[in-house]
Amino acid sequence: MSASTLGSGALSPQMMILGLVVQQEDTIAGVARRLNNQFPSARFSRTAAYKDLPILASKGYVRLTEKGPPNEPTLDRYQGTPDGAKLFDGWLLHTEPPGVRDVLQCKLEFVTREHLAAFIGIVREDEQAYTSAHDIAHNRVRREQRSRLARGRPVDWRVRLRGIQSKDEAMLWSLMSKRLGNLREELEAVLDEISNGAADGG
Amino acid sequence: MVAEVLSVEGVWKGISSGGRWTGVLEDVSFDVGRGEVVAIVGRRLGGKTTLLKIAAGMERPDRGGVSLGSQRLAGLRDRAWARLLGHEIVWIDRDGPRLDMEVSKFVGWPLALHGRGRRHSEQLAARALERVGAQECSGRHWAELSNWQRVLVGLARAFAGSPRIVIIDDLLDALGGRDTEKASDLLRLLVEESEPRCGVLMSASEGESAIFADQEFSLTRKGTLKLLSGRPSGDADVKPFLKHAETRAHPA
Repeated sequence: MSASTLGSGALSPQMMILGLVVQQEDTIAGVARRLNNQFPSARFSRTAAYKDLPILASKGYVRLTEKGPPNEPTLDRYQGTPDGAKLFDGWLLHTEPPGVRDVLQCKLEFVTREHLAAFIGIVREDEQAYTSAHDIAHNRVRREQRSRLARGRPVDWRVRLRGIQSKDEAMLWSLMSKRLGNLREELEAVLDEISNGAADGG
Repeated sequence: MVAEVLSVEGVWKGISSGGRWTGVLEDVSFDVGRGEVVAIVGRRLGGKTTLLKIAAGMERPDRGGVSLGSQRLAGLRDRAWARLLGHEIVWIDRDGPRLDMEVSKFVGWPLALHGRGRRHSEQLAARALERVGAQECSGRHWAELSNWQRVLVGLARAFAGSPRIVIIDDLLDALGGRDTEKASDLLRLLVEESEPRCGVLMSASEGESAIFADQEFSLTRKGTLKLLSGRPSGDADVKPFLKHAETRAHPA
């Protein structure tokens, strides 16, 4: 398997699918549902589990444990192999700097004066989307806090990890929202200066 | 519908320098409800403390006003406002007492000033410190306390009496990770046990301590307030790809 699809710094659907099957034996349909539920913002292809599980099986990282009914390949059931678990642990516990392909960073390179007003519009739209995503994650953190306080005793490590993941997600969307808010304000200032003829540096 | 404890309405505040007015706060409005924790996040020196001081009545806005329940702070005489501060409006920050004093006195002082009597205030202060698990700090001075102990002592002072609004400036920012969560849990318990139920307004440079608030606002560079979370109107503007984040499997 190539390093580009299963590299330790990359976040590929194949690696997530492998992780989900190592975590718990499941059908193709079950893995597809968990991939979508657990990593919603990653927007992995809906057909990724269907395509990648047979590929992972052919490489020996997962194995077919139960064939589904004829014409129902999504009910084929897979289990992680020791080789698959080893590969996944390698990804989990080692890293290399991932490539960051930030869309707005790249688009800024090509924005002209004529694009500016419309570009500010898309930054605002993305900012609102991240603000809403933060709101959702924030509400989850609050629900978890209420549940923790109602329980009134220390929670086990799995609940702690989920709580940490929720906080991290809320922080991530919050940072993105603030970053885009700052970017929008700066672009609006440039647009104002252009409109007033003050930023006509040629 | 949450009953409002504190209302900030259309507040403007700026700095005049060399004949030029620079806005710090522009048309800022929000409410803190009974039992609610509201957080203002923003960059350092971005106007958060100014906003909190205006909310506490410690600074006057150029325009707009602040109400504690039905009482407008701008209309109060200094003496009437001084009666509220430390009693119904409690301010805590990371600087602690302005005068060097023992923690027990720092916690009990506002109670003594508001007619509880010295002995009764000492008893209430001891009880408040014990309630937050900071009884060992009683005879020590602010400078001798760790960041965690300062948070505990600050919260003990805030909730020793019966405040209507507790204003916390940047205090939780000195913590991090697990301690922020523990402090936020403690704050939530103290609010829920307060009688009558008070509200909390807090500022934070980092978003981490604000994550546990009921409403989180960001103070923008322009001095306007942007609601980050806790919106009452639902999630109508959520893009579909982010909307299903809500459905992520997170069993209780």
